Amino acid sequence: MSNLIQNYANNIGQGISSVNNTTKKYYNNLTDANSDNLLKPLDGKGYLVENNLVTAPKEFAKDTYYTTKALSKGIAGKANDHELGKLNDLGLKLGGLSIATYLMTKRQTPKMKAMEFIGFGAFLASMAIWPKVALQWPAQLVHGFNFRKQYVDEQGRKKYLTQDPNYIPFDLMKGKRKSEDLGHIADKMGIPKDEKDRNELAKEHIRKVSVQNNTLWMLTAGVATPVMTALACNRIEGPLGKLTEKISNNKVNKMIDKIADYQKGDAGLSDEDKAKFTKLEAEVVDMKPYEASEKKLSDLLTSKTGQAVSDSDIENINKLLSEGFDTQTQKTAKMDLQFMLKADKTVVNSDTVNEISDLITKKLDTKYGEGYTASVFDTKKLSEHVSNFMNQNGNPKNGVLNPDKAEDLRVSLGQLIQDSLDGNKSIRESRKEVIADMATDAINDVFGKKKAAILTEDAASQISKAGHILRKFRAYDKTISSAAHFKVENAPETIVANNWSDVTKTLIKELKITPKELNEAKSSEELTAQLFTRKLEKIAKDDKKYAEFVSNIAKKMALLDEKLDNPRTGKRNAMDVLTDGIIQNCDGTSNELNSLPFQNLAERIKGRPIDGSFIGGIKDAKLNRLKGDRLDSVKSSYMRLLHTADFFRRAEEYNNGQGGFSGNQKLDKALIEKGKKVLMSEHSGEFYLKHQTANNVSFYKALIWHTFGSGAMSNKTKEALSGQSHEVFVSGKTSMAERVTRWAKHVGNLMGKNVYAFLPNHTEGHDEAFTRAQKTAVAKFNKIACTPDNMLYKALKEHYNTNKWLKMCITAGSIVLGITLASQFAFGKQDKVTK
Amino acid sequence: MGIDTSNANRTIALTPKSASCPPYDHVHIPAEHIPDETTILPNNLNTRARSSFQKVTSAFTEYPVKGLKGDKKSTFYEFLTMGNVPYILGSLTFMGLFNGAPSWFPNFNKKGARHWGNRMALGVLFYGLAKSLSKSLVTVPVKMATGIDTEMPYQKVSYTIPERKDAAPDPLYEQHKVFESRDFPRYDILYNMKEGEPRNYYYDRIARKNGLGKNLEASDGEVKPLIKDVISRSSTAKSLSTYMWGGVGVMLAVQPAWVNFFKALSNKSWTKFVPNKNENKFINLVDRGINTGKNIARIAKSFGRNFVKASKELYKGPAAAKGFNKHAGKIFLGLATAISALGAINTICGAKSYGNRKITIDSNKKVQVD
Repeated sequence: MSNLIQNYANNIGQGISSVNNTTKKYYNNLTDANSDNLLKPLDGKGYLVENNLVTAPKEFAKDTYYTTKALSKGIAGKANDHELGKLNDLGLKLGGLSIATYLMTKRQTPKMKAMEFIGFGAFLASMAIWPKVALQWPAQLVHGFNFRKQYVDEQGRKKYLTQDPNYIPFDLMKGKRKSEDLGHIADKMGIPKDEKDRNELAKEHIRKVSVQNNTLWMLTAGVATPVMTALACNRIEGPLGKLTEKISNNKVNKMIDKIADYQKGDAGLSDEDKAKFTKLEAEVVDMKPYEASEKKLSDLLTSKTGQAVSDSDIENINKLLSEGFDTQTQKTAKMDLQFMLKADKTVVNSDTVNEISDLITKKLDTKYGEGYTASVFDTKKLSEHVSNFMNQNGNPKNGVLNPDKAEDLRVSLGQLIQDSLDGNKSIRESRKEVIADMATDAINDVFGKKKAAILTEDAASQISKAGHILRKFRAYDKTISSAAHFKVENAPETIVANNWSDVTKTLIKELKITPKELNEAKSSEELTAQLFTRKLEKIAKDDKKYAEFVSNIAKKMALLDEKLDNPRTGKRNAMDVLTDGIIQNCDGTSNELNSLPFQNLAERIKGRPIDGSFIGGIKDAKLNRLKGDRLDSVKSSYMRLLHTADFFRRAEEYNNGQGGFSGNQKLDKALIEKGKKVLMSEHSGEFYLKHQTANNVSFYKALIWHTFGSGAMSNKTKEALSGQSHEVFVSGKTSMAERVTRWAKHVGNLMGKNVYAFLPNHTEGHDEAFTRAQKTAVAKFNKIACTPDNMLYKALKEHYNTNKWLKMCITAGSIVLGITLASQFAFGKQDKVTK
Repeated sequence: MGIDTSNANRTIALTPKSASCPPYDHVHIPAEHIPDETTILPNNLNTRARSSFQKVTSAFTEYPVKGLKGDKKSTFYEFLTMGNVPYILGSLTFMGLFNGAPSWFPNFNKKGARHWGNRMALGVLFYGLAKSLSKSLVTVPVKMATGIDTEMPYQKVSYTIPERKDAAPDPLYEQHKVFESRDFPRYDILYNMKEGEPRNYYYDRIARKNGLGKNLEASDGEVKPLIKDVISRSSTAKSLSTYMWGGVGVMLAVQPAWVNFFKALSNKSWTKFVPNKNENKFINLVDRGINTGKNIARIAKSFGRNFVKASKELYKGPAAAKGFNKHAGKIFLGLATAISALGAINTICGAKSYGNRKITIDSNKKVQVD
């Protein structure tokens, strides 16, 4: 037995000596005592985790595998506490993703949809980054160690080294690097080298600083994480918007190219190309979403064909026929249907004969006593007569007779009764006349009642065709509208909306508005106008600043056309393709409907021909929405802003003795003062009221001429607006300077300059010919457009909101960060007992 | 709150009088034995409210003070309990972020920002509520089927060495769940649970309920692995389902119906009380109380009405929407329900199949090992 024990002890000793015992080496260096001969334990399997950019992917993969394994163990009832903790983290992430996914469905634009996920990602990232940046790194700088160092224990569980202050596995700190070296940490603490229990003091320091930092982490994370998330989202939103706009615009432009190819048609194409065209057509005019409703219409028509249709039947047919159209169009379609299905047919069947017989019997029996009718004539003969008549006329389906045939039958029935009476000698002539009259009345009554609108096969086929045409219209229109919506609609994240935002932001930036000015100006439009005027007058005085101001704003404006029109060699202008698409779709549909009895509907789509153009229809509305109302008002607003800047510059040049207005100094002064106000602040209402110049017609004319109509432009403005970046207005193929001048002259002409009248629509004496559409109040309103002060006022309010919110977040975040950083210097102070 | 602190002033010893250990050698330690006052508490609303109150107040007051000092007596439990602080402060900060800024917005911009902000703030509240309440969807069926209440609360009382000489030991109160740890469930406090019943009363009951057999020689030994199984499965189910329910809470809160509730909640909708000059102060005070009650009842009714409306909106989806956008609410609601249900079923099946497995061994039969 003793031999066994001795052998065992010897073997153990040999085993230990053969192991590369790093712990032993490390402790040897730490203590004065020579411990070479002491028995020491083997190194544990636990180790500190290296967390850096190189190891991050590997650690991520390991963690993911661990969590997946934990999930399967959890479901099987085998997961330990650590694994269950990991499943809690997994639940948090899945829950967060579900929220982001749901909120995404509530958002309309790609950017906002993406922001929901980015927000959640930013939240998770903030949770991880805050303790690292605000606590871990500063603490390591000040105290020399990483209190959030992770380790993997014997069981493969990854934990934070100091999370449990009563169990910190110091044995894993083997001095591989300074932050894991107790000696180095003690040096940082300023503990003398010869201090007794130096390592123990360092360990206590680590414990204490860790507890303090972990506590501070818990106290600050609640404020810091949401604030960091909010700030991160705010920073990301801008670049993300640009990216999503580019992606969406490319996608829309590709679809527009397809529309352009579709517009060319398949005439003259080879068989192979025709097949390609069919595929393209299926994409541009996608009928699939409408198949179900088309079938519904077809089924309804089949079930009603050959039958009398009531008003409610017509209503139901119309609902399916004009599904998806506006109320006005639906009413028009119903009008066509009612005309087509008017009640002019007569239904003749066994009921008809019975009703006639019953009515005659009732009338005669009432007058001459019960049973009288039977003695006069046999009602069966009526039935035979009707039956013969129907046979002779080919037994029309459901007994439906056209008006002429119904009339023949009615007359012949009357004749039949007359013949029957004539053959009856027992009745007096005078009575015969009365009986004949009563019988004829009865026949007329029944025939009157039997008048009905019948859905004939022809009518059903025509309605079905119209239904298909209208659905095709909607399918093509959907493609055009979705592209048009992204380009010009008054909605978030469209090209026009984004460009407006860019231009107004640039305006604020170029005006160099201070926070104090912003705070005052955002209170009212008048204060904004005063601020804008002051700023613009100041900028106009400085050649360089003025050139930069005008050029930078105009560059942003010019981008609108570039993004809208997608100028590329060999490709058609995108907006022209959309315009042509609307025209092609509306005109084509209208023509097809015209060949069917749906003329009113055709007119509703194409418009009513007035003075050689078609107005008031769907086509007109769509074209106006695309290029007229919305886009014209935006572009006019831009032109007005640039023209206002130019006017201020010309006024400044005039003050310096350059250029001139009327030549009369006193008048010029008044013109400049009023002109600035007109351009800066006056809306179309003030234009109609002639800018309150009712008592001075000459001044009004001079004002309009010098403010709008003269065509004069400062050379400085011309220079600033020259250059390639300002010549991308593809549609007009003109430079920005020309455009501004053209706009000004147009407004001058449009609002009247030679004739002084208060009529809103008067255009007498103008030297420019206007179309009827250009002279409408809406067109004038759009041309006069947004006033520069209103444009700035709205932008300032938005800018103020964002700034206020940002300031609040940054202040809160800075305070928390400041306190957290400063705390490091208070942490780790040794208490008296420890000392 | 009624957490028992009567022991705080009792002088209880840990070791003999003569004992001393640095650095506490200055501390006088009386020679009495300290009793274990750890007690199981009834799992009801009262306990939950008191435990939460104690945890939250300590997390905001006592534990941070100790933690920031780097106190030697700071524990991992305190660190974990302080996890409530970022949860609560974070929720408030999010609510503030959604709602705070619009106060400074120009008038016309306030309304839109507030509408969305209010709903998101309500979402934060609903998230917490739904997450907390949805635990029951797993724990209640599991308790009914297996007899194991995975949320069984207990209060742990421990004493630390006093800092000053002759001072009484400091009692520390911790609010725990008996089965919060799968690795170390508090099996010890489940013995002698009921007066007048056998020592293994609890384990006998669980064994019987789960088909492990009656009158077992060592029911505790038989039941303990089953309990571990239930903890693991139910905890997995809770982790996965409660956050999903929290998400459903947010989804419910962002429905348009709540705009009406916020209108009802606004100052403008509050019927103001005008004191009657002809009545005395007491009558006016009573009338004021009645008026307040009426206002609260009106708001409560509006909440209930709009809760139902919002639930329908969440389930049905927007009228104009199609596909996933239309059915997203339904899908997530179904997903949360499915995870809770499957989690509970998995836990119950695990416990029952465990019983079936164990019953194949006849505990009365002697087994000879060769």
